Amino acid sequence: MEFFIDFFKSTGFYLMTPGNIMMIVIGLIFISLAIIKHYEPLLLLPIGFGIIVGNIPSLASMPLGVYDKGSVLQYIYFGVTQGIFPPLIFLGIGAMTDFSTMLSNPRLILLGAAAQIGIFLTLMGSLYLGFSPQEAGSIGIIGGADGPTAIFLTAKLAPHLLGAVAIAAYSYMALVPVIQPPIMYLLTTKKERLIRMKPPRVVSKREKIFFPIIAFLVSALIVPGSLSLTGMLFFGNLLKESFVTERLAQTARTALIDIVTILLGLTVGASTQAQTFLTKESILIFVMGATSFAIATAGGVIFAKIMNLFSKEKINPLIGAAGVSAVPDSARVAQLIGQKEDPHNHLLMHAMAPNVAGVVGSAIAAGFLWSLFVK
Amino acid sequence: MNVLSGLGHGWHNVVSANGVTISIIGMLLVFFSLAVITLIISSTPYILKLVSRFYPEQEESVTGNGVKKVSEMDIVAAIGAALCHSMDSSNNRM
Repeated sequence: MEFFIDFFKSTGFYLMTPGNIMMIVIGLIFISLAIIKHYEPLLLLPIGFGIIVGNIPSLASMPLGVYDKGSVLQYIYFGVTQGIFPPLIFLGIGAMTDFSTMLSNPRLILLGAAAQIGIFLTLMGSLYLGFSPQEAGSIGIIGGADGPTAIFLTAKLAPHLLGAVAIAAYSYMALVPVIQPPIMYLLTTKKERLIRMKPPRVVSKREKIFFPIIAFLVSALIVPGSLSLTGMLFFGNLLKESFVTERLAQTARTALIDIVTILLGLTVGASTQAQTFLTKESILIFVMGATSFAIATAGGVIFAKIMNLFSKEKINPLIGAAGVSAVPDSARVAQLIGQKEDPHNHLLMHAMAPNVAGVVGSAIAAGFLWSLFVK
Repeated sequence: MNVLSGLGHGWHNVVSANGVTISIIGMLLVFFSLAVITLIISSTPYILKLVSRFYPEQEESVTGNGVKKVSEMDIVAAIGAALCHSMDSSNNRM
């Protein structure tokens, strides 16, 4: 009988805390959102399952969790804490991204810059609330709506916030179709939403090859801290556009990015153990993250309206919201809202320009914050 | 965990960490970097035009979607083949 009681005391049923139960429910919600609502399933499903894995309690003497020295999950989590996975994901993103629409209408790149205002205003907000500069930078980067960038910077500046920042960043990325539309409607008139833009011109092969090399040189020379992210992004794009390394590009945009996404999603989810995750700070991070995301969306839309004051060829301000990276969901939202007003208005191609520019912009912002706050 | 490290909340935190200056410089830097990229991209077609005088680009031109350009005759042939195939399959069903 005593043996049975001892065994029962070692089970998860006995060791389970209300916090663990709450986190498991959150994990199940993530999985449900992925399967039922199709919200970023490639991310939310591994993260959701990871949350459940991370909240199964075990004896302290058994190394099982991501924070336990020598556990399998800890070895995988090494790729997150050391910032290895995010650049690999950027390599895959580069190999699958077509920069043609951005190259055909370069002024739309500025919308990707404007949307980064969310990062810096939230940085100030977080400082105001009493977070340290390193923590504030990590929270602010959530506004970049770029999960890998947020993980990369937080791993470098405030590793203790990694779980909360990563979950907030990926949650808001998944909730793009819910968060962005009200802001877009609020800041635009029906007339503006009806603006049709000129179809993009044909971009030559040479321009496509020229771009990743030049863009990398410019971004890395101005902000060397962005080298790991922009370097891999543009390298991946060069693999794709050169047409001589199709096999490498194919691997980067399929198998490699999928493997890294699985490992990253699962371990980031598993890092949200109730004991470290359910804190007042995590709630504040979620609130600040949402604020950052909303400001970024508004920043892009408002800047598009400002550009319209000075340009002959009008920009549909809806595409400004796509400046918040979150590729390609925020571009898709611009397309959907545009088509609600005019079913024959196709904004997707145009929205992809600020969308991919936002990826570059948030990587540059992350590089700047890293070089500034590195201890 | 060094979160909310006893500083309390208030504007003094922003001032002491140079929050405003950092935000302005950061935003300007992002704009500057992307503006430089914009300028270079805008001038690329002109530069490449000059280059192609000496080293003309090979004929294998590609559209904005990364799809190879094909002649109209090829398109007509493809449509014909597709029609033929669909008629065949509908006949089989009947």
